[in-house]
Amino acid sequence: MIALIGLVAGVVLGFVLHPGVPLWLQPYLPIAIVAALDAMFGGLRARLDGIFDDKVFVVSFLSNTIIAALIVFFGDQLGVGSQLSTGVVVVLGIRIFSNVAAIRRKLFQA
Amino acid sequence: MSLLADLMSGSGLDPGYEETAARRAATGERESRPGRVTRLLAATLLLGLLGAVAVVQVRRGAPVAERQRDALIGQIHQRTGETDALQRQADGLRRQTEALRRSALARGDAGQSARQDLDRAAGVAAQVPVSGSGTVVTVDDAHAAHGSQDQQDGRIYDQDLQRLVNGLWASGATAIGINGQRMTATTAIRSAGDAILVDYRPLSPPYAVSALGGSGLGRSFAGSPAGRAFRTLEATFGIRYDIRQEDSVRLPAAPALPLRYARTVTPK
Repeated sequence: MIALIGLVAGVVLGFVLHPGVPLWLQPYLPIAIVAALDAMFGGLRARLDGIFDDKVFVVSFLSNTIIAALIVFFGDQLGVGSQLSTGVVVVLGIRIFSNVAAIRRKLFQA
Repeated sequence: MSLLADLMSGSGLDPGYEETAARRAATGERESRPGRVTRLLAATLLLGLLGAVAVVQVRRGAPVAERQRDALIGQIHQRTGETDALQRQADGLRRQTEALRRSALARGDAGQSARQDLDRAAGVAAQVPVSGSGTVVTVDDAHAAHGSQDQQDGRIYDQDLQRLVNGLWASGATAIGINGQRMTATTAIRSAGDAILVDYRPLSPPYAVSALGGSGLGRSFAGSPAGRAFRTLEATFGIRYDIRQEDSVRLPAAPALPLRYARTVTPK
């Protein structure tokens, strides 16, 4: 419930305030969001498993986004930015899918 | 930990929650509720903010690209207008020199015959506007090819226009223009990207090729190899191709040809 309130409030804030993203941060925003989605679905799954822990959630969320952005940043510096972002998206995508599959099994028993 | 192995076994990919739950069960400790609520609220707020910002960012990016495109198109129009103005200026100056030359040559027999030679040469070099009866051949991309990038069949290419123009010359045309642009013996028909350039100016379809050469020109072109080739293209790809006989075809003069080999004589 609290999580949902926070999420909605964040989205509303984002649309109302229109915060500008500095140019140097823009390439890392999409990958950070994919990482954040991964943390979100991980948290949702843990919640359904009854083992949700807010500390783990916050730490995994922050570390996921920062590390994903960092990987892409280093990739850009080394000239393999697009390949590394593909790698990050693939790994996170697999995790998101498996988490969503677990959530689905919990909710629908299917 | 191997990602694929974890994936196949179906176990949790993020063991953090399980470990914490086990530790909590072992020690029985639990933090205060307000602290947990704030932490969770802050994290989810950040998450939502991140997503919303990304959406806004993408939305904002699209008009920027559109604006740049508009600016480029505006520049193209502006430069084309400038070229047109310069061309008009050049035409006016050319008319002046022409008149001056005529009046200079009007004295004496040698001058008269030189003037006749010049007139003949100017006609052949497409340096004077002409009009008369002739033929207008209109070709256009097939309807399916309009506006689509990947549908390459049924498009008119520069080679097609080259073949058409050469076919008309071969059928006895005395002067040719495409969409109001006069062709000389050295006018280039090229393509740049999707556009066809005639004399380095872009054309837009349909392409109307007007040719002067009497009333029989249309028939003799239709029977020529080029005409038959276009008939085949029309049947195969559905391009537009029609030949129309016109009593009065008017063609402007071509832009002045640069002198490549002739040198001005320095008076001694």
